[in-house]
Amino acid sequence: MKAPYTLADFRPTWRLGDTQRYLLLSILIGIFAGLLVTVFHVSIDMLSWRVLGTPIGANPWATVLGPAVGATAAAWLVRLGIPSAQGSGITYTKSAIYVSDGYIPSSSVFGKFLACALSIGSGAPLGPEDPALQMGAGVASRLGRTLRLSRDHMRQIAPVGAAAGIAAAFNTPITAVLFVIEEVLSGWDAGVLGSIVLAAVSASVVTRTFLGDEPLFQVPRFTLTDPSELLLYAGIGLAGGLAGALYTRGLLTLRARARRASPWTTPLLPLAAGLAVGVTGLLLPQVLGAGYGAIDAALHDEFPWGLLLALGVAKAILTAVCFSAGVPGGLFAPTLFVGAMLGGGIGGLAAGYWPAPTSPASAYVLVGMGTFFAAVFRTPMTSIFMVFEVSATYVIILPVMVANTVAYLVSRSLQTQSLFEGLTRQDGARFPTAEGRERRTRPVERLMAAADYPRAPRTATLGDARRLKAGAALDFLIVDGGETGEQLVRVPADPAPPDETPLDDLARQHALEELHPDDRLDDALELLGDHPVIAVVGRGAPTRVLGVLRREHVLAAYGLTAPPRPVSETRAAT
Amino acid sequence: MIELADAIDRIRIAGQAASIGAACVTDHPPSPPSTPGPPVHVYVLVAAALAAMFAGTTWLGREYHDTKAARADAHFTRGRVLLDAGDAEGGIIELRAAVTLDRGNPDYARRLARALIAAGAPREAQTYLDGVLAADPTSGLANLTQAQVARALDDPDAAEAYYQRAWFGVWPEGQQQRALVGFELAEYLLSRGETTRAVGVLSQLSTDMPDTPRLLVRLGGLLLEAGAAADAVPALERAVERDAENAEAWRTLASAQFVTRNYATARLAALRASELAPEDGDARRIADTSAAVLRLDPGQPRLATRERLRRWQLMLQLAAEAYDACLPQPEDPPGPLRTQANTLLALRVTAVDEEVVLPVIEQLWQDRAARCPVVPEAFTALSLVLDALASRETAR
Repeated sequence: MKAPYTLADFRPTWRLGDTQRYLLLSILIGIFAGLLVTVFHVSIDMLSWRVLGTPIGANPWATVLGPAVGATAAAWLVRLGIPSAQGSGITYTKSAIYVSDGYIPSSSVFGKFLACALSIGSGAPLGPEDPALQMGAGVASRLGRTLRLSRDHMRQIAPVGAAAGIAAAFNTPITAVLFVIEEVLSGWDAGVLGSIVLAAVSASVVTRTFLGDEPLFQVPRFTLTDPSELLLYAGIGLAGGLAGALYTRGLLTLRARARRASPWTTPLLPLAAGLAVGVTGLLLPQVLGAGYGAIDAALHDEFPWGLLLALGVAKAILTAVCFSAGVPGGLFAPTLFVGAMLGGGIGGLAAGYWPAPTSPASAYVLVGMGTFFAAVFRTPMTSIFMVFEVSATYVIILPVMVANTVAYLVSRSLQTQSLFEGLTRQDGARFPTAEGRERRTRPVERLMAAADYPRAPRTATLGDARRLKAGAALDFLIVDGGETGEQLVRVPADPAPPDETPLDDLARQHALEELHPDDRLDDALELLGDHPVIAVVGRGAPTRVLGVLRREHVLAAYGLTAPPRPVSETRAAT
Repeated sequence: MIELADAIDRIRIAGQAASIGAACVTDHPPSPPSTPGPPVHVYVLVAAALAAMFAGTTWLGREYHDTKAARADAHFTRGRVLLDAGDAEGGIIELRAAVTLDRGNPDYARRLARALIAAGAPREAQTYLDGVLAADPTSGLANLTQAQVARALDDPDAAEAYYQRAWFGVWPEGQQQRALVGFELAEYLLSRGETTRAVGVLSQLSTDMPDTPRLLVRLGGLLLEAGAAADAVPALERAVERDAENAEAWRTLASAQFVTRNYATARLAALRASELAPEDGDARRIADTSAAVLRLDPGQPRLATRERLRRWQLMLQLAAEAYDACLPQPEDPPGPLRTQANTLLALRVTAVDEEVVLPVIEQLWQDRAARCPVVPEAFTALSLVLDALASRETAR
């Protein structure tokens, strides 16, 4: 008797489609990235305990030598062994997205892991977040290749992994999604948003499973005491913006100089930077490592305002020195640290002089953290939600919104490019940024031409409309009347509809796409691929055609063809 | 320095980007626009890798948490030792390290908070306690420490609220610790001059707390301090009933009886306290003063008439001496009041009329008090007897 089924009958059911594999992969990326970043986090902490002891700075010799040895070893590891692990994880990930089809070599993941764990764990004042972002993107790329994703999906998979990496490192899924949208993708991409969210959530769940679900910082309870304090927060925003612009410029300048150093000097830079960190660590041990413990201490009002400001300045300088010298590590945590100390310092100072009662130090530390982040990375939405997520404190949201916006605007007016944009340019690459896109994109209104076509009521026939043209070819006309109002309608040439065709029917079948005056030309490009003309209707009065957008005008605006003659001239010639 | 540009250089740019963000062809085999997907064994391999990583992370995570907990515990122990040895700064550094490593442990945070309060850093202490209270709002100890922080920050409303919560909060050893909180609250109210509310708290405590001599003595002492000596006496009597060898209980009882003008009982209690603690000067003083009052007071029951009249004359004698002692210069010749006193003092004992003597004594005493508000120790008994007489008169 023949068996009803064979093994072969089941085989096809194992084959997943490209989209299914992509969604499955998003979750897998989140899990793998979460596990990897958990191990990364644990490795850094355990190495730090071993090298620097607890509390940090307890052993003077280890404090001086630990960062120097760790930074040198890590820098040499990437220089000689795994060059792809060098530099900023964010610019590397962006290069993978925009240049290499989402391809990130697996060696860069392991290199980044080893080098950054070594340098940060031994006291380099850098952070583990953007390495985590690159590791997440690398894991995504590896899995995408393993599961044989198509080229389109491979390009999209790196930001998915990046979100997972950030979410796992910060335990902040919302911040991760926003950061990837604002910085990595430089804009909203609906096609990949779902996957980014899936990966970020999966990574956060994994990290919380192993490291606990507490927020990054334990923020003491507080309430905002007086509305006049908002002025103080705006002042912190102003200071954060100024400091952020200065820090960005300083770091970029220092890095440019370090890149010009002689081949004999370059290998010694990490050692010098590490020694500088160690010596500073003797006086201010809080600057060693990522610095989360010090931020937590500042939130608990452990430091006087003078020490807070000193810590902020020292950390900013040491971070810039180490990063420029090629010590592996990220810039997120130091940015949070500098901002936190700056905000806390200003808050502590104001507590003595501000005429109204002021909030506890933790409020100013949190606000400062967000302002500096917004000023340096130019990601205002991320900075707001990050403060909210790392502190799990909703009451701070209003001051953070005020201060971060001020900081962002101040930094933007003083410094033309964000830190990552500057780093990318130094590396000889140009990747899109949200600000750049904003500068480039023009509204449809700029190129809108007059809708100079015959108008006929919806109740008329095509023959009536043709008579209006007195025998000339009728390509387009505006049909008016009824609830729909005016519609720009294309008259097909082949086969040409008979004269008795009601215009209402013609409009139903051949009405053209519509845009609004404030829509962006980028959006128009795709529509113009199908039709040479698009109607422009007002948002307040969509029943009236305000004008048209012509394909040749748009192409000319992008410099792709010679500008055509104006419509009126063409018509006159006809 | 091999940087991003070098990495990009290694990627062969073969095509021109059609638009911003379009990918270029690279040196790795380009992925096809659409692929059939990997064979089943690839999924199996991915699953196996995931399982292996999960297992590895689980093991490492456990090691991490164990190491962290052990380090935190070591810091906590060192911190306590240093604090006990009087090294507050060192102790706080160790305790901070413990809290940083194990933020979820309320014992660490509470101990650190208490050390910080003692070291004069109440604001920092408050931040740690907030975390403990957020996790366990009914913790009696956390609320008590928070109350102490609020006291240090001079926030009486918050302090009282936290004391109340601590009083009704959860305590591992129950009533005993709750009573101590009640005492601290009463002391706080007394320090702010709110004696009526303090007496209210103490009265409620007296019905709730365990009847241990130590607690009863503290209750009695606080009632006495709050001016409720009559309420203190029963508690203190209970205390000496339960522990007859408790010198403090006897002395406090003596004080309470003394304040309520039960000088005979006060003397006996004070003598007992002196027997048990000979070095206790207060008890001795109470016993001596009580004895002096008992010897001087003409209103004592069961006195023979002659003895009562002798005491009136003795009181007059003391009042006149007190009056003279307070004069800037001796009166020469004596004034009318002093002349009247001399006349009465010259009488035989049996001729003394207490209705006449008492107003003279009171007048002398008032004139003296107007000039010298402080009562010299030699006249303390006279002062107390006059108060007692006035009190009895009022009661009549």
